[in-house]
Amino acid sequence: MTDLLRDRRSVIATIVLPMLLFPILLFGSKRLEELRAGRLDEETVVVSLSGSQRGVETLIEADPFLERRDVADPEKALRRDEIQAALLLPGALPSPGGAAVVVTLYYDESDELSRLARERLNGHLETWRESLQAERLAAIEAPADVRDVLDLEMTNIASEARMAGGRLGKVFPMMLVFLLLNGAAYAAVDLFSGEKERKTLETLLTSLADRRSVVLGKFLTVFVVAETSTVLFVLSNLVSTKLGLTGAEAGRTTLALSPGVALIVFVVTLPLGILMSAILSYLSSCARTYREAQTLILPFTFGAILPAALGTLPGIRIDSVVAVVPVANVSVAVREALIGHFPPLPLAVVIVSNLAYAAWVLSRAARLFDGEAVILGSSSAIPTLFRRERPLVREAMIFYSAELLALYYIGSSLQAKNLMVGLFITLYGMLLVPSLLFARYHRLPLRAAFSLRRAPALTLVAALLMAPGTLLVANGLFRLQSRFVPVPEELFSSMEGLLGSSDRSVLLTFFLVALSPAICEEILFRGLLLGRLRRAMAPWRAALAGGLLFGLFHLSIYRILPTAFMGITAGALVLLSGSIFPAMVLHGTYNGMVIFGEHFDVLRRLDGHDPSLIAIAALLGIGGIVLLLHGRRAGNSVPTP
Amino acid sequence: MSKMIAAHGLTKVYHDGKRGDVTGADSITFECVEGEIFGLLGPNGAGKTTTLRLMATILNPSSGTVTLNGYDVRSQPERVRASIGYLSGETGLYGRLTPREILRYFARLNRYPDGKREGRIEELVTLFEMGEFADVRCEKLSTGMKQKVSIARAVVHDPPILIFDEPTSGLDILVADTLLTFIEECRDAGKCIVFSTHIMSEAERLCDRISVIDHGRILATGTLDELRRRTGERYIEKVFRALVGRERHAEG
Repeated sequence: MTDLLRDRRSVIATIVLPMLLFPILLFGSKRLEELRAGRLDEETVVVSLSGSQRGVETLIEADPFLERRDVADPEKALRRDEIQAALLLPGALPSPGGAAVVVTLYYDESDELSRLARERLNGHLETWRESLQAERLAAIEAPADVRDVLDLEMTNIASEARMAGGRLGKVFPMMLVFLLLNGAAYAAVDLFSGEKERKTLETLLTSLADRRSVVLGKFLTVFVVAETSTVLFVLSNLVSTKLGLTGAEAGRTTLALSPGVALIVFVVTLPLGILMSAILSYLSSCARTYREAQTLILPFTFGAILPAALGTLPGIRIDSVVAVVPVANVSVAVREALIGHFPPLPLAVVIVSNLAYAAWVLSRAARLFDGEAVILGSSSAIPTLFRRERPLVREAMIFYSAELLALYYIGSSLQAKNLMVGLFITLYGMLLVPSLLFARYHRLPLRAAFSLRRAPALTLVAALLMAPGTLLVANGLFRLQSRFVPVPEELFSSMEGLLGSSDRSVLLTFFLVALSPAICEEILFRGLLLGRLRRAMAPWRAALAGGLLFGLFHLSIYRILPTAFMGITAGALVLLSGSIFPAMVLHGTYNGMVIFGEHFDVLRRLDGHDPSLIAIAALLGIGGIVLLLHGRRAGNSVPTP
Repeated sequence: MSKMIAAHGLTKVYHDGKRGDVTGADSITFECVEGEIFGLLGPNGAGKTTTLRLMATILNPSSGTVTLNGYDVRSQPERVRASIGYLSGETGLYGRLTPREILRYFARLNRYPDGKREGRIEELVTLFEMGEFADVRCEKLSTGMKQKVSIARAVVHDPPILIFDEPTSGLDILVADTLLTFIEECRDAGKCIVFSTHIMSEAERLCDRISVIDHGRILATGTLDELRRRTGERYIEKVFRALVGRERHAEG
């Protein structure tokens, strides 16, 4: 600790940076706001109407971005976020020439979506006002006072504090996570890899202190440093508020935290701090030198900031799903706390889930120290995949990367020109043929390299049965993912272009989108890549890694999870049956069902959570797994690759 | 005289991705007693450091046992560590701490009684003539000064066993002599010292008994006179060469 405190860089990172950040944040928030406007345009908001005015109702129902859901107590519903705005309309119009129509609009200034709803409703009311005005002018010849036909009252239900919290919530959680990471990273790299590089670790380990307490001590220091930087950040906010630095000039309310909210923020962030410290400690104890640690930590930092940023997007509320997603959960929770919203159960879930993750990582780190790899700095301590130099894994990875680049630069442009021809060339010319050439070049026996073994008939049936379940789970994953990463409309339309059958025969679509990928993609992924990965790691890891690579290969963040899941299932099939053919059957059936669904519009029905469909798919899936295990035993000719 | 160190069939196999399994120590067997300086003599990469690391519980043996001060490295590693002072080229100092702070830190880590701590530190500062630089950050010290601090660090808790891995490497003659004298004093105080080196004159001056080690195996153990008799050579360099050469020749 003392050693670390004397390192000027660490001091700057943990103390000076958080203090400087706040002013920067004040200037930066405006810019961020502009960036986010793009996403907002596509949000659908829920509004409630009471009273009845045909004119307004038609306008609102015609707006694709407004959903109408009438509630009894609009103000309460608004506070609970069930609706984003409410409109109180009179039951009947006053007589022409009489008083103005009084309309009240409830909204929540602190909620971006609510402000959006207000803007949209306001637009419609403006249209309505014009038509009313015209109506009245027509109804009465005498020029009455027609300028004020509509009297719109805006009622903001949010308090000043809540509004300020809403603004702060857009950037504050991200900064918090960033600072936490930054502070912890410096300490972790210094204490774990730094000690290794400066050769003090071995000195330390020859002392009486046992290894677990060494890990724990170091971890605690990392944690204290990380928390110090966040606490200072929050404190610097409180202090600058006291000094009037964040003052309300130019009509903006303050960006200040109340001490109570600051406390909640601290409590919620605490477990995240533990988690971050644990992960960073683990990563840097894997590394032998400073530089190695930094290369390991950098991707992790990006990986952690991303969910934090997602958490600040408007419209994401804390619920049971969000609450277990690390980083994002804290980011959302902090944002909610800032607008004075403290749901106790989700908050508890956030805290407990982060603590659980942290405990797991920490136990891994302690095990790492128990082993001698920490001292030797041997590669066995570093998470696998790229480090091991088993037969041709590296070559296969390079091959994969080359394929990825080729697909990105050549394949997609070919497909953009002519979808079907491009698809044909990509699949056969760019996946199948190069895979075979790769095997030939490295003189791999084809049968073994691609698992081209006769599969027991039962496993093929099993693959067929498992397809619907796989599709359902993949679909579920897709929807789960789209909660965080909203899927743009273009993706659907491009998928429809791929699957739609307007201008070509269903048969051709089946050939190019179901049969051909089943052969070509399987040969590359479940044949070549999985075969290589299997030689470097445990079967389940190979299936997992292969599946992820497959997901990545689809070059779309919206499709990573679902396709990866398909890939993992297919990989498991290959490893269990010893043959690539069940995976081909699964893949073909999977894609075939998607085409079928699109063609006959079944997919829409699938989206409806139909329990009987899920039950059937689950039954089939279980049947498939049973058959697979049975067939595997019966087939008993399963040489593991 | 009581037995302080007993190694039996101590073996360490490293798994290396490129070279496959590498045997760093192969059935090392020896014993040491109180008031004895035991030397491990061997060329670079012979397995001296591996053997010493196994004794210091930094590495876990693949097979075989070694007990220090009656404690087994596998079942009671903490007791072992409490009984030893370990110093090697890999045991660095905290650059941002001063020598006094380092001594204090390690005294506390090793649970040296609080009341006696400051006295012990001053004793060591005087012994190694560290007075001038005891409050300067270690990163600013010269190699010789650092080595003095390292030695003091290793013995701050006054352990009965001292394990020194090539302690004089990189030192000038004066500092090396201070160190060797200190080791002799330790022997006279009844400590058991294991000492590895590839410098023959040091071995000749200090060691009561010597093991010549190469390729992870002990080739011969005995007093210098015994080894001389066995090889028929007069000078220790020749003795060493005869032993190592004989082995290498047999392999080739």
